[in-house]
Amino acid sequence: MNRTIASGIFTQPVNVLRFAGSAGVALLLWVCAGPIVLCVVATWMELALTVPIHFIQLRRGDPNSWTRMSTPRDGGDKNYVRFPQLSLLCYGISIDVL
Amino acid sequence: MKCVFGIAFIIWGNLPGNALQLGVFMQQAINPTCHESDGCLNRGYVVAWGVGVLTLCAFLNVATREYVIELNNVFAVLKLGFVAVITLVGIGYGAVHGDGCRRITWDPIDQRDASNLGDIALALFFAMYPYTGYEQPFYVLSEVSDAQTKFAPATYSAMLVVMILFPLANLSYLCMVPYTGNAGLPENMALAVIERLSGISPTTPSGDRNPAAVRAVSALLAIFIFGNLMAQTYTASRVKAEIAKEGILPFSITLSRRYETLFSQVGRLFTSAPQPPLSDVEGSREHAPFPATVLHWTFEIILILAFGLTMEPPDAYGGLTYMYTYVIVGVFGFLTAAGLLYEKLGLEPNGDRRWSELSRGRPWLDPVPAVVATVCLGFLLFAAFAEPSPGKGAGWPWWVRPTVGLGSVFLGVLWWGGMRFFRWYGRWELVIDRIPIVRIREGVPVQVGEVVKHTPVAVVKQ
Repeated sequence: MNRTIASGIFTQPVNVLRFAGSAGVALLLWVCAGPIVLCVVATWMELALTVPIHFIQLRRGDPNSWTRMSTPRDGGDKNYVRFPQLSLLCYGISIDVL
Repeated sequence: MKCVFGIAFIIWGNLPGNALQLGVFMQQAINPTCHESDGCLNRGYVVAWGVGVLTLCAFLNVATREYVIELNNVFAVLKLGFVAVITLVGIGYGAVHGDGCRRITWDPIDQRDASNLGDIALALFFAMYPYTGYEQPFYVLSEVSDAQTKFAPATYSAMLVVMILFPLANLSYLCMVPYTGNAGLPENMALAVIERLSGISPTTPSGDRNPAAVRAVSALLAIFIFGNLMAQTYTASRVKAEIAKEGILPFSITLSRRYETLFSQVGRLFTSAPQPPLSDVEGSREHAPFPATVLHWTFEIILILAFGLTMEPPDAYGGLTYMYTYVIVGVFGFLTAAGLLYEKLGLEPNGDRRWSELSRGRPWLDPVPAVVATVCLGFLLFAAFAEPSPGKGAGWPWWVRPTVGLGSVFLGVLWWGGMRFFRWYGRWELVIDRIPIVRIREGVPVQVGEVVKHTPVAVVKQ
């Protein structure tokens, strides 16, 4: 929220009005911009909670405890933008998780 | 793709436009009767404020981590409260005085202000810019306490709040300061609202205006922007450290390193308690990416000098915020959404499992969000090349900004080609070993760190 509310909501209304040419159209654009960004957030969220996927040993020394799990990590869209080679799944090896 | 994202993010993944705007507000706080259009805002002073605040943010980023996060939370509450109050006051004022709200129309008041496709595309980009910021917690996701169950509801809630608040804030502005055509537009809506509340009309001569209100609000908005810059420095420097791990930059390993924060180092001098080793990524020692912060700061300074010294502050702010929205939100948002849609449609073979089985956090109405994001952002990226109406554009010609934006993306392709050639010519390759460090938090694995090793190896010609 701190990053979202800054100069934009105070200074961009003038730019939006200037290019929209009417108050009604400007308001409509403000209403439309939110859902578009919300849809982008939804795609980020799905990817953030899914990739990368690691093989993880849940119990040290137990060879039967290896399982494939989503493992959220830092980096944002650096991890998501791999188009067009969309091998989004990083099958790394992770140990010592407990 | 690593180069395409990495290079473009290093160039544009910062907020020098906001730093310039902070400079404008500080100058207005010092000289409240001065307006941007008067030309009395000294360009050099505005840039100096911007450089100063960006340097302070970079210093705080390497000095402390805990206090930056706490300050971040304080700023979030203050800003939300301010926008909510100004919205309620504006709508209340409009309801009581009853003139401004009724003057909101679909048709342009002056036909010279009528819009075309190019205008609408630009206006939509500018309207999307204030909604951005959602991406920041994704960049430091390992620091979120429970990504699976708490992060998603919190992020969606914050987005819903601004989706309601921002249009209402604009309605409030228009109720207080009716739109009478582009010729009568104020430079800053919040300041215009405060002036109207203090009894000043647009026809009041500059000399008769009450400087106290303008001074106070200018200072407050400058402080808000400072909070914003601090948050951006925190996350973007960490993303740049992540980019360095990919081995696409000179001195990659150095740039990816984190060091103990200055406050933590000083604090250690005054405690006798045993400290965990530096290798303990979740220990009590604070870490910050010092070299990546310097990289982040360097590009911010280059941009603020390049734009701030060659353009008037409003044009420089518009240009820089447009570039951020076009490249970081538009291009990479489109590639992310289109890539996810590609997976959802089953066009990418994933071995024995489909995306729907692997996916976590599937959104409501799936796959509608991915389709809407792909279509809307794809349309906007092309529509940005449509020419706006004469007289509305400021600064650069209309085609320069999207061309520079796409050019910076293409620069990543060139960078990749140059890197490949350099290594081929030198007969060497870079072997990158990455071992993720995973912890289970409340039953959910999170990658909290990574051991990265870059080894140049000679390529022997067969």
